[in-house]
Amino acid sequence: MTGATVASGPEPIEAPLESAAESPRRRFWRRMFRNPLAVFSMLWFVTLVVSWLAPDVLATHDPFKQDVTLQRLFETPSADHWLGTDQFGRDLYSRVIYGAGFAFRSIFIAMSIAVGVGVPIGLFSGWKGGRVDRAIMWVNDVLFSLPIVLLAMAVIIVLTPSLTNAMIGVGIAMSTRFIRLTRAVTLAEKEELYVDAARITGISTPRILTRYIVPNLLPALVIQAAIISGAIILIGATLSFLGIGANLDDPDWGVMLNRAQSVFRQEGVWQIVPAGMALVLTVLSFNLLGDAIRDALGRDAGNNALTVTKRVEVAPAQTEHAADAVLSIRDMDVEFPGQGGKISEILNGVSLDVRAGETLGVVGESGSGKSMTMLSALGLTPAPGRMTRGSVQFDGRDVTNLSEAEWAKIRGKDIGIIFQEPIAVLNPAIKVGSQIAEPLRIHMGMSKADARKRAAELLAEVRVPDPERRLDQYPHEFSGGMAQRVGIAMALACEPKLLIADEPSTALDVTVQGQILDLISEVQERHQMAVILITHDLGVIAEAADRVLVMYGGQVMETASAHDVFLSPKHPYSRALLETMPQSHDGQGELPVIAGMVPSATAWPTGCRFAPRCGFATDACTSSMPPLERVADPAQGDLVQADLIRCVRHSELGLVGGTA
Amino acid sequence: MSDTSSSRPFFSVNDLHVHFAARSRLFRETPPPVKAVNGLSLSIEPGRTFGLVGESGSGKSTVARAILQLVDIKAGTITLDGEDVTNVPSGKELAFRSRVQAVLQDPFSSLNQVHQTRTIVGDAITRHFGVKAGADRDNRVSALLDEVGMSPEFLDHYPYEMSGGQRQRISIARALAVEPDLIIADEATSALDVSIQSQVINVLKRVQAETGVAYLFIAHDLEVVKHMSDDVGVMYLGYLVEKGDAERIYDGPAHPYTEMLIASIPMPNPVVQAERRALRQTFGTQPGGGIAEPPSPSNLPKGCPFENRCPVAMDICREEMPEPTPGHHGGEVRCHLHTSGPELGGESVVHFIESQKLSSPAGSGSAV
Amino acid sequence: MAKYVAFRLLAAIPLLLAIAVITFLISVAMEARGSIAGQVCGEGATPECISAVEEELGLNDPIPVRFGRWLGDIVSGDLGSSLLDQNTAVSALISERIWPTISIVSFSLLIGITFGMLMGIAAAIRPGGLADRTISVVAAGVIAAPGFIMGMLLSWGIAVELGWLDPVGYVPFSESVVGWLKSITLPSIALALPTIAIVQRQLRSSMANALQSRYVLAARARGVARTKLIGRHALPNAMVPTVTVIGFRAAAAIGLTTAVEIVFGIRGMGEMLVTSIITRNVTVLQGGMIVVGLTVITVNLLVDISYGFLNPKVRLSR
Ligand SMILES: Nc1ncnc2c1ncn2[C@@H]1O[C@H](COP(=O)(O)OP(=O)(O)OP(=O)(O)O)[C@@H](O)[C@H]1O
Ligand code: SF4
Ligand code: SF4
Ligand SMILES: [Mg+2]
Repeated sequence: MTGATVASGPEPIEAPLESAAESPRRRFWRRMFRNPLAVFSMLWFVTLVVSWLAPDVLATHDPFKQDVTLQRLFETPSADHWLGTDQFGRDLYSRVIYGAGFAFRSIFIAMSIAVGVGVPIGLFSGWKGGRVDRAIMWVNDVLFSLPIVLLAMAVIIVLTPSLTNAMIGVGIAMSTRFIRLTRAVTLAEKEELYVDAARITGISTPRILTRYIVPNLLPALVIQAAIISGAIILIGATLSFLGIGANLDDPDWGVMLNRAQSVFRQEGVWQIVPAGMALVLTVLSFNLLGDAIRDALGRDAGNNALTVTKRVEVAPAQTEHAADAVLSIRDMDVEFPGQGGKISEILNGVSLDVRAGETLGVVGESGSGKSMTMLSALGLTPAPGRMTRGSVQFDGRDVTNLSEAEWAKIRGKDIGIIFQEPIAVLNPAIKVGSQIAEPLRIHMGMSKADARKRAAELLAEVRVPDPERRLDQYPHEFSGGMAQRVGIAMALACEPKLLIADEPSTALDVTVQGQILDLISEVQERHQMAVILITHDLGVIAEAADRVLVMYGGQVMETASAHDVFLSPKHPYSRALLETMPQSHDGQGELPVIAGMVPSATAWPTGCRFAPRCGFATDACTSSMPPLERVADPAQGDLVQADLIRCVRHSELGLVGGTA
Repeated sequence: MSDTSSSRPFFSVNDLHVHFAARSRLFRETPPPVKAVNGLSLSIEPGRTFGLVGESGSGKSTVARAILQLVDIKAGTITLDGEDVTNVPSGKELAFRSRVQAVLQDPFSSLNQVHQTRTIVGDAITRHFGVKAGADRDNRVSALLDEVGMSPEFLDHYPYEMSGGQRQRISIARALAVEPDLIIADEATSALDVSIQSQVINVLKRVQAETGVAYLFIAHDLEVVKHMSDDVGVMYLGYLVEKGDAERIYDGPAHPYTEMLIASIPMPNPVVQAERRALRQTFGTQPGGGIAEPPSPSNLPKGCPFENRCPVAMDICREEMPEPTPGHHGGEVRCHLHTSGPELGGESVVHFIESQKLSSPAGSGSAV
Repeated sequence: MAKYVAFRLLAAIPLLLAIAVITFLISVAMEARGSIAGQVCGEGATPECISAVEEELGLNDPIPVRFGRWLGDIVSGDLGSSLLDQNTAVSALISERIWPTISIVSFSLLIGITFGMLMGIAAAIRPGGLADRTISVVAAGVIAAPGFIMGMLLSWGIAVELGWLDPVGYVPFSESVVGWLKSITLPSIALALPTIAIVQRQLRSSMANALQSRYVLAARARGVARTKLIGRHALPNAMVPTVTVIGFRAAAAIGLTTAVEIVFGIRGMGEMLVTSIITRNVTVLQGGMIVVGLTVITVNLLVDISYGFLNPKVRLSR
């Protein structure tokens, strides 16, 4: 056993990494205070709360004091009455200030009922599940779909009109929202393994609910509560406006608008402005707050497949492309702007070649950059990532800076791609037949009927039984293995020159995996395609690949023929990977391990990226980054066949030799 | 522990059946139940590991969940140390939980995001030993962390601050906290990268050597199961089609499905794998060239469930479900080949299958 | 699909029953507070009058019997008579008031859905772009403004200041089609503005989800052009949650139209309901609730059916 590459024997005690992630609480507040809309709504709340708790501090007049001298009515803003006066000569500014108290009292009453009734029922229903849950949710859905205003009216007519009674009605109606949310979250959380784990530990149900479920429910509840508070104020104002809420003398915003509505056509639109603005701003800030909390809690804001990051000057590659390669990548760097302005370098100096009829296996642990290499080579780098250096040549043509429209002519026609998640990549709303026909129609200009005929042939070619019937089915009617056959059929539809398969069999059972690999090699032989097969499973590579590219930390570590990589790996990482597989190990003793873990893309170690885990590391390894060097005889002059390696000690270690 | 009779197994599952009733709907026929586990029996001795393999949907996790009292059992019994633990009454639940623990599949959802390691592992100590949160409890948690190869600094880490392998070791520490006799590891290493997987496997083996805990080790990766287990059981559509000594099953599977699984493992060696590939290609394709899919677990055929994918199926296979018969590996096998047709009598099925295949050249013989 | 629709229709029956029970409970609750007979007899009611009315309305029968009778009446189209005026049948009152309300609500939904979807797609195509940011800010403001405030602003600006349309009143369709259209335009727009914003926000976020999905990436990797990615691959999937939201909004609009009707001086269901509450005329409110309940169920039915079209999983599993 060569063993030396790998830390064997009792594994060293693992200590945490230096740079622990930012705590979610800090990140939450940092994001909240960086969001101007959130800051605005928080400030607005402070003002409202002051108006509510100490209205006299802000008010300039008694909100009830009438002044019916004629010129005192319907005033517009003045030095004495900052927001003018109403039809009884009352100071509108002071009335608006006092109105905040009514708004908060409404929220308080309605929200206590809504949360107090909704959350326990939702927890109970979600946790119980089954028939009880279905019965509760059925009733809830009926109430949920009735207009809240109407439910509130029903309560008001029973209890007689008043703001409190209106808010009791609104609270009951709003509890349906909390039942729904709480129940949905509880139902989802209940399925989480950590709840099973807690039960297995013997934790009691009430404790699981309070200590495990509720904390996970809290963020969603807070967001919902913010938005519903806005709705409560809106509905409260509507009811007061209708004259079935607050008392018609009270300085409630809804009542003020009710008063304004009978006179604004004659006396001018100003009458609706003070209370209207107060109302709209308050509701707005509740909504903004809800959104801001959601954004601050969530992952980074969404970019989608259509977001094309601004083009940047791509620095040219230093080395030349192989002339006979179908796809040839040189010195590719890809960067992502990360949180706090940090840049993660996801790929660094990636080069590869693949020729017609050849299968290149790309292997590496998760996060090593296998998928990113392929996406970037095809101009599909997910935003906000971007390629900053390197060049890509496809079929003898430089495609480094191709526009999206030009790429669309190549992708799907000359390059077919198979993805890892066979079902997720099929559109759930479109029949499988039309999805297979799509590339045929786009790239080959086939008619609908021809494309359908060809789609059936393609399905037969990938051995899907009963292809005609299958064409008219939807993706959810396919098993994973069958869906992957559809994926292959689509990738092959236009007989591409290059097929890229990203973990085509990883999500599938081991027996199905074999069938899929056979299928790929069968069509490759038939069409003499170049194939890039990405996987983390060395066994799959050993079966299917002619040449192998080993990736680690966003870099190419070694490229060589499959035979060499498996039988005489030169790079310490390749060797370590092979040795840790249980297949390579016969005895029952401890498996060799690679100590530690893959470093984060924002904090690559200096020098060799594998050095912290490498059994051969020396000072030379950490001082500067080892270059990607050619090992094959340069006299051959064949760049494709040139084996590449990134390790300062490779020549020395190559002598150690031995097989895994 | 009991010393009454050494013949009585320490832990055993006898003829376990678990069905999931389909939801009944107004105005419509209720669909048939999903038969997730059908008559499964196995036993485990202290300090040993029983490995359970099978494809996704074969019922492996349901077996684990049935033992852990997380799903309703339709029929069968489970005993631990002579005591019936099929349906543990709530009064005895804590005692049961202190003997049977689990490590679950997904390292990202099996730990609660809102708690630190100190609480995740400490809660178990509080629950079972009454040690309140504080320095004493932290010391015990630190000792457990040490056992799984992690430093005490992880006490105040949250799950999202740890890697998959680290989280999985926290799960192991939590299971060890109650000093159990049996740990059910359901796909405990499946979500991990190879280099991390080997770390976790070593921790599990070391713990077993030190504490004598028994494992029910469930995984779909045959190589990992082989490395971990003393005995192995192979599941297909809820049936345990074969069980026996791990080494001997891998060297000479007596069930065509086991042979198919073993032949499908890709080996990290191009020379070896080229031969294995030829062997593998015997399976899976139907005479017509199409691909056979396993039947639905809610609509099992009356005969052998593997019949439509089996390269050596006989007429009787369509008609009758084979019963378990003794296998050469000291266990059992459920296949008609052993009692009718070639009457293999529990021996390895490898040579028979190879002699049956007409087209492709013979493979390399034994799979591993 | 026909089977699916039939099933949805059947499923609406228990829903109707539930709404009937809730509505019926209102009168039970009011009676428990002694208000129904008191209401009929008016101020200073004599005990004789009370017991006579209770006898006449059958209030002394056991509750299930009353519910059965009440339900029977409703099914045969008899919603009872107004408590304040025994000669006015509630059904007659409603059939007079319902048309303005239906006109406004449906027209507002038409406007709301059309513009909401257009703006939602426009915002989703380039998230973070100028269109997206502008629409988002405006939508946030519009959602915060209740329909009746919008109504007052429109009435003042378009009708009073510009004089383009009449500030108040309703012209029946049978009288003049143009007049009808003119009279419902402003109230419908007032009610539609929040709908536009709500539909826009939902569609934007579900489009964003759909565009981030693996199937859109895969379609792009097959060379599908941008317009098709949006229209054919993302939109149908994004419509599923949007249709749900449209359904909720339709129900809410039915409730919120009350305030808008009052702003525009339209004597529709809204005004009828508000008056019935102030005068505690429970039979009228109940009649109104039944009608609204029926409408809500119809809307739900339409939503369910469009699900069937949009989501093959739903259709086939039923
Ligand atoms: N949208 C993104 N934004 C930022 N970083 C990303 C994004 N997508 C991927 N990454 C990072 O890029 C690196 C390489 O990812 P990639 O998906 O290429 O790895 P992989 O080798 O294919 O891994 P796996 O085996 O898990 O599929 C990882 O560190 C990953 O976290
Ligand atoms: S450069 Fe040094 S640390 Fe890196 S792989 Fe080679 S020997 Fe190991
Ligand atoms: S019983 Fe028949 S069909 Fe089943 S595995 Fe044995 S030979 Fe194959
Ligand atoms: Mg990947």
